[in-house]
Amino acid sequence: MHYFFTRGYIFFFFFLLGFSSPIFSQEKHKYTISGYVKDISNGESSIGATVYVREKLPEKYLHVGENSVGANIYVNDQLQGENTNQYGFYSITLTEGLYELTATYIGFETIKKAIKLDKDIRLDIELSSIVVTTQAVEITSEKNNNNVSTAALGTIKLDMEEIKKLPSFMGEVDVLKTIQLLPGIKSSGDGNTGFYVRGGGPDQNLILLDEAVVYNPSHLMGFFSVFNGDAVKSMNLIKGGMPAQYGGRLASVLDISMKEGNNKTFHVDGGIGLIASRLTLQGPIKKEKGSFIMSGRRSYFDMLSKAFSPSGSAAKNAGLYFYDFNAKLNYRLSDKDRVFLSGYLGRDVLDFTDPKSAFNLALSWGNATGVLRWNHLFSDKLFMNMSAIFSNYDYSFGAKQNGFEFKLFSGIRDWNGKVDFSYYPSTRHEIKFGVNYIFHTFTPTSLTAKSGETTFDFGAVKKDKAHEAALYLSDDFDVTDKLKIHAGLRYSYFMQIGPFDRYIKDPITGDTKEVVHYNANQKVVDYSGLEPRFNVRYQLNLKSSIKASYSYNLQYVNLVSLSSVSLPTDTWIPSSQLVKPQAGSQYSAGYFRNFFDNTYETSVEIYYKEMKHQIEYKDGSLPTAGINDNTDNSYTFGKGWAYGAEFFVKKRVGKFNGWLGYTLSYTKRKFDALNFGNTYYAKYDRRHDFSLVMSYELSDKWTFSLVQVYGTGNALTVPVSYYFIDVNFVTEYGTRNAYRMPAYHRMDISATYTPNSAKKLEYKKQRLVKNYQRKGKDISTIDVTRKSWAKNYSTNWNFSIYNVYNRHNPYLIYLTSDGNILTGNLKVIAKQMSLFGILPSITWNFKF
Amino acid sequence: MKKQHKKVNGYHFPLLWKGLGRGVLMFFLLFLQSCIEDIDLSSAGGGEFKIVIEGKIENGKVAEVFVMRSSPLNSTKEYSSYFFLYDNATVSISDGTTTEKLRPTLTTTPFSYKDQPETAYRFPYLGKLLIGIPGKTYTLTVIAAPNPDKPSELRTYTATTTIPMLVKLDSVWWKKQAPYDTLGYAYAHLTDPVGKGNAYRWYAKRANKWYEKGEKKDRRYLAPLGGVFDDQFIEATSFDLFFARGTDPSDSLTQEIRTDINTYFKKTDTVYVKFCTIDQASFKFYSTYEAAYQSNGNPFASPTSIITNISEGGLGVWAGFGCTYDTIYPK
Repeated sequence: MHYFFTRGYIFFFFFLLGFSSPIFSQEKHKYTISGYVKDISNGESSIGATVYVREKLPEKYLHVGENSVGANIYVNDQLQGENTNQYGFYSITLTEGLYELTATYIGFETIKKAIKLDKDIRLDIELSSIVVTTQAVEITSEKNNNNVSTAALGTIKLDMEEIKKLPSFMGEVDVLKTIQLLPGIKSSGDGNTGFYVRGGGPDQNLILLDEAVVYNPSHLMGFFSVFNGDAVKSMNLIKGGMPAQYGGRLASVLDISMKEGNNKTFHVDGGIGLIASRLTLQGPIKKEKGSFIMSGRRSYFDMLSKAFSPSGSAAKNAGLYFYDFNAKLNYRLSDKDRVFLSGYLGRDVLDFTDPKSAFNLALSWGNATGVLRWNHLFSDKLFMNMSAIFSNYDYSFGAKQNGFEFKLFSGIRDWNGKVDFSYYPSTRHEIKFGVNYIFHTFTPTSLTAKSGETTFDFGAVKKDKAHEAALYLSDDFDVTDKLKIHAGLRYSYFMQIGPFDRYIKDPITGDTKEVVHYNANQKVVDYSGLEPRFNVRYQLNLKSSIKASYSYNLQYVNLVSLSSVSLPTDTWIPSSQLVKPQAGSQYSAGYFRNFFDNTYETSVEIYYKEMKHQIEYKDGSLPTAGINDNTDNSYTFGKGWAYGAEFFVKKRVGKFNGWLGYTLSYTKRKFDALNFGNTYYAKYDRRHDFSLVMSYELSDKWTFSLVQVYGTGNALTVPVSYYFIDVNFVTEYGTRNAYRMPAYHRMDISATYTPNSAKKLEYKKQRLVKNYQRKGKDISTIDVTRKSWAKNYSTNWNFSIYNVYNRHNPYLIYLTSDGNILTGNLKVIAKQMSLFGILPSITWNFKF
Repeated sequence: MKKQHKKVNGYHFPLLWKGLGRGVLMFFLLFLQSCIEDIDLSSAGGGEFKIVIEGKIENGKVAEVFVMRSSPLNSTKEYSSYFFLYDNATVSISDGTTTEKLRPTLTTTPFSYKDQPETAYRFPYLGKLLIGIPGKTYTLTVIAAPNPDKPSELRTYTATTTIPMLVKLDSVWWKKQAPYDTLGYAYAHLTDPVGKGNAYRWYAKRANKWYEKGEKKDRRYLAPLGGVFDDQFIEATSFDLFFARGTDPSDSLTQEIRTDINTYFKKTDTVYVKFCTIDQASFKFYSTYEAAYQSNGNPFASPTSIITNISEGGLGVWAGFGCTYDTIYPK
């Protein structure tokens, strides 16, 4: 059935492409306006800006593209949206004539320009970030209806400035914490930045930082994400209807863009908080041509706890800290060529020594990424990005006692090359195509051990190697003013190669029957498949639209976890002879409606998902080092379903803004070998998930915000009975995931105080802009780098309280015994551990 | 494989893995001002009563079988130790030719411990006739009612085990553990015979009495955690092992004097060592038991089901032991 569907789909896809061209062959000459949109103050491309064109004589909106990710294009007075390519390039082809071009972006002054289109025009637009606060009213007049007009379904874009207004956890602004406040995205609770999208597992999210895969997005056991708020420009989350340029994961894409650095003046920003501090430097390499940004963070909770703990206490001997470092360079080689080099390096270290038993435990994990990109314009209609990407994740866990040393380690390393094209044949089409190749090297859980000078022989460290490749083609097509289609097709291929030893097990006894050896580069197994993607939007009017999507995804890398809490030691493994690629189909539909001149955005989305070849450990599995065995021999396979409805109301602008989200969802699994083959609820099945986010700007000095969340507790397998072996009590576990943890709920509040000195500068800027506007001068000619402005520095104080009403949310549940079996009053008691009660924090942020 | 002189920690790999979870748990408890409170798990649905069998037959000894019940967490019954003992089961063993009914020993107050022989801290069913012989296979049959409220609903549980051939330790000794002068671990040198699948369990018992109280320090042989291992990584090699001291949860004296140093042997102790070979089914039971005990309710570990060799939904083990004995006089 699937094959039939795919074939029919391909036919339809090419039908669309073919049928589009004749419609637009008109008699008048056509010309193209293209370029980038940037922030005038620092030269950063403003992701999410909108550029549109209004034809001068007939008062009609024509559309224009936008240069930044997620921009919109409007044709006639019908507002039609198109996502521009993610490098911020826009290209609009129109018949010759007089137009007024408008570029808008939240928090920026709108720019209008008259254009006489009688030749191809290259136009880079610079937007000015005027005081957001006082200019809010003017900007609201340019509110767009992107959410209604794009074909994208289940896509959320947030700008860092928006995220920064929300209450922060211990003063650290966190992208991952913020997206968990959106409907359809579920947090896994305190102490975990892993997130679940529409019933998918944490490994089913493709997390990209400047295109490089980040395999473990958490710091400090998940208290923070690896994304430094000062280095991040924006993020785009896709939870349904994944476009064809993304693949390799079933559930979602979280695409995070790093800042590029100010290419006009040199700046330092930073923040000093209670447990971590950060510092960012940025500036031009060559003015207007290239810039750099470097940003670092380090937590120092461990130093404080060591310094203030009495000697001999456990805290003296333990530490947990993280650091990370982001850097990015970009340089404009010519009008048509731009190169970017960006990298991330971060690490967590946990160290614990028990002086009494001389036992030492050391755990360390971290990600490293490196990306070299080249953007090239072949013409004003054809944009190319070529990237070489490196991505690495590894962890090690070591223990030492009594001269005996032991180290466990594991990791994944990718070398990735990709080429992506965006082609704009007319205003009605935006065609993307490209190719991607990844060479994976997996280090499955490996072990070394030694005692004094004797080293144990566990054989050479094994590496599993694999090729993964994909080709894709997609078209964003305005069929009519009302009907828009995004159709895409992705073909993916995966091949595991040697050297590899396959241990074939006797299904009954579990003994190794045979060992098959594969030589280096010899094929072990391969898989491939076509992944169709399809979104459609029908615009009912300017305020409302309905959308639907279908996507089919394959996933060739898997994260397998033994424990109920995710640890950095969870291991990434490739598809193999036993592990078939995970396959997921998602159907979703939504209704989008804006109210009060786009001040309120509302939507309802429903989805249904099927997932094949899901992986779990067999019952009673113990971790093995894969010595004389393949780890996949201890897995078992099954399927999953998820369905639900998401409701969202957002007030985007004004002094008072925020959103309200509610999700009703069901997530189920069925494995022949688990739970007697009966269907059970997945750990992260969550019936109700609610979040309220509010931000209020009281005055120029004070901004307040509030977050309230509520979510049904996780499903868990818990002990149901206990007994004694050798007079020690042990437990027997009950039906899989039959127990619900108590609901998770919490309220956070924060206040940001911005002292006057900073405001004064903003007033100055604003006054100047207003003068310009009154006189009808082009504000883009304002020299924002003038000394008196640049010298100024701004600071703000952020006061936040996490978990205001001190809710004890369950982090985990364990058993303990009380009393004595000898006296017959032994009691076995279940206990719940919560991590954070009420937690106030202060952070001082500065910028100069 | 090349023979090397190697030293293996008594802790085996999965236990160290579990140790990770423990370390993390400890960390949270210490540093994050974690909040702990009671929670009711009864919404998970009821566990049911099950028969738990802990039976063994050693070379040169008669069979010894404990029959107990498990208790559901949501049971309203008193959690008394007495409740777990099952005193009217029908227990028999067979070596293929001879079948013997074991006799119950439960007569007086359970769990008394003062100066009792090793087996008397609880009340097993004991054999009389059949004596364990290495290489021989024994079948256990227990007829019992799992639910105390339905004593007439009897079930028949069976299990089979083999006493493996004996493997004697090459030598045993004690070594002090810095920074202490008088405390240390027990060491042994073992040569694993050629052929995969050998599995072992180590026990030790201090011969001394408490100076102040005149009680025996250990009333029975005790296995430390990590005292069970097989030859997966040590096939046919010769190496050193060291073991911590096991503790006896049934002995209130050891409970009383539990201190930071309760994992060591003292220089003044005389240590009896019992080193046993076990079959693979027993190894699976004991290793999963250790893992389950270590991860008991530890949420960082996956729920570990103890792998039993008892049929009919029974819990526990029926294990054959091939034991050899040594004595350590610490110096």
